[in-house]
Amino acid sequence: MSTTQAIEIKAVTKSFGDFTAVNNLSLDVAQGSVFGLLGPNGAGKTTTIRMIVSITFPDSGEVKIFGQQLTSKMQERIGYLPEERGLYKKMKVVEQLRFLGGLKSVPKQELDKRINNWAERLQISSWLDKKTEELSKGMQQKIQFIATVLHKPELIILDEPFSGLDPINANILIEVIHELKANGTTIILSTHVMEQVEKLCDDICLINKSQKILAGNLKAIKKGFSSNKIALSYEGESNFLNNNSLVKKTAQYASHLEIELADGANSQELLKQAINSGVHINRFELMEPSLNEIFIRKVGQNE
Amino acid sequence: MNKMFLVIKREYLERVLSKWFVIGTLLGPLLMAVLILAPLIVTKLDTSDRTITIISLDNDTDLLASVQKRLSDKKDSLSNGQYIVKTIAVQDPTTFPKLQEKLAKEIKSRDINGYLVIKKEDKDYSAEFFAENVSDLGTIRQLKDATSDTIVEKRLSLAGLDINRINELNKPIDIKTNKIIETGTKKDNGQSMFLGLIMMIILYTTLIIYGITVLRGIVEEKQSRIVEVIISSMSPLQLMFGKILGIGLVGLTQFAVWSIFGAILPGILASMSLASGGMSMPDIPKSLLAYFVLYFLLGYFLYATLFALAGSIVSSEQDAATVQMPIMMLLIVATIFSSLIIRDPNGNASVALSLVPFFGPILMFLRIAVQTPPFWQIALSIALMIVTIIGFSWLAAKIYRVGILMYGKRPNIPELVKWLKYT
Repeated sequence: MSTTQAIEIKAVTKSFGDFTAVNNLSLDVAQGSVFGLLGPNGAGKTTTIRMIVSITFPDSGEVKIFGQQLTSKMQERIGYLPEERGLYKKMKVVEQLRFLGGLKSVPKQELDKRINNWAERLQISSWLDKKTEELSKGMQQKIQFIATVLHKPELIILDEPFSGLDPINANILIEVIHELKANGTTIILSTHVMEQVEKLCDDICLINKSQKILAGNLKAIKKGFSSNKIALSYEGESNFLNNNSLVKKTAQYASHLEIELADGANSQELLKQAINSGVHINRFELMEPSLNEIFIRKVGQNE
Repeated sequence: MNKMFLVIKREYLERVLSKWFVIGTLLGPLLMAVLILAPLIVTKLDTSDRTITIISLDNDTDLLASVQKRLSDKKDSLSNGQYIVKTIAVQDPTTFPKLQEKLAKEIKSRDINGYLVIKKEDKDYSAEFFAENVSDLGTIRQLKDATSDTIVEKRLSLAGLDINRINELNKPIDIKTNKIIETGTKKDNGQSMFLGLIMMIILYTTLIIYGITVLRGIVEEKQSRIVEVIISSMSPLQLMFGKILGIGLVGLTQFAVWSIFGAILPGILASMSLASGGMSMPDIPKSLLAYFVLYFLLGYFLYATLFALAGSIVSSEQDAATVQMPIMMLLIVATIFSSLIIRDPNGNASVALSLVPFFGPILMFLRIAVQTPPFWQIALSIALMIVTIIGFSWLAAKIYRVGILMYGKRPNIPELVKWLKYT
């Protein structure tokens, strides 16, 4: 992949009256990557995204897309699927897509061809002539996704794209995202579903309270977090678990017991004590921290 | 520009092709036609006669005959019915209570509509009317006129004056009204006022309907959240003005359809031979039509911008109803002043009120229809409206671009002022 940046955000601040939505935020998104923009509700993700698509503008700092200042022409190279979304209820699906495609300057002769191709790909061809209000939420979601990609944008921003989709349709969408990435499209994914982020994203940025608290390559970040959780399955007495200097919390699952180590405790010390207590150990595994855990830990520290 | 055209096209087609536009456009003139025709038809249908018994408690047969003759000559003003008059001269007043009982029975059995009692008291006359329906104002007025004329005549002759001479001297003259227009004078029995009022009501109604259409359109886009997708493709200003223009074109289309109806309607009326007397459709001067369209456009742009501003700051239908009220009040207040304009179109108050930009589409237009004001006043009114439109467009644009992305609580005025400073 080329090393040029799709997005460069430098020291951007945006406030609404007394409320600072984004505070001195800097981040880069590499061209052709899938970038996860994460953070709890109200962290400033939507405001950041709105500045990238030129809906709102920063009070200070700089946003560059493909190395250029924002212009209205730039909007045609971006596809944006907002978190809160909707369509004109009374309009026919195909007319809706023609209208939204037209707004992104898709050439007229291309428009219907692309609509039909995407409708086929997402299995909604038979719904094109229906009124939008007759469609289910998931269906409307797919229509909105088509409207986002109809103009072949080089940068796509998807805010919670999986909400309302059943597992089958969610998988279709994941496939499509992989295809788009393979074609060199840069994708920004903002979601609370960490499993999707782990499956899809190369890099992430975690925002909390309008500030960046964690950013970088996803694999590197996960490596940097030492695990404090152990999956254990054993036969025998559980007395060895009563040592408060080692064990903070336990949770029993069907297949194993999950142990959270006390702060500063050594996992090998626990293993030694277990063996000394005479239990038979079937499984003793240091669990890699999930992104979910990292999220909760980092945001929790930040409170 | 191309994108704004797409918005105009979408707004226009979605509305013109909707069944509500078709129904509203057809129903509008139909309703108007019914309003004009209904009284005519009702008049044709109601030909019932009124049967009245007149009683003199003083056995004055001359008086009775005179009233009877006067009444029989008259027609009811609303219906085409005749008056059938019976007379009873009472010789012995003590029998009157019995007579009253009998007459009450006749009223109950619908043999007569009512009875009028005339008696002499202290050398002068008094009269009382008894009936089940004492709201039949037409009949009561005719009774009053006939009795009154007869008694006045009687008093005069008692005073030794020549009745015929008095009538001759007392003959009223009719005033024929002529409206002075640029090409001379023409007969006008209130048509220009009537026409002006009707056109003013159409202006008032359409300004409200299309203004609210703009407001609802904006609230719908905001509620369905599609607005965020659209303004990631174009500037909010293009979206707002595209919407206002598209809906304005719908209004003009409706007028075009109506004027075709208007051109055909008199023909239909004539063929049904219903338009008789003073009810013929007046000719609408071309210049008045031009002013009508001009003031619709000016009024529409002014009010549509206000409604757009209001729509952008609310997030629900309920809130929309709250914010549209003060704007509608401006138009309602304007129509309240219309009676003042008709009475005194060139008075100081009329001139001042009609120059207020928010009232212009209603009041200045009415003045033009009733008594065309000096041209400088029309020009000033148009100029003031254009300045106001530009001012409010600027304000609405500033508020709109912030408002459409704000959800939740409706902002108060200080918050709106803060919005103006957002980039």
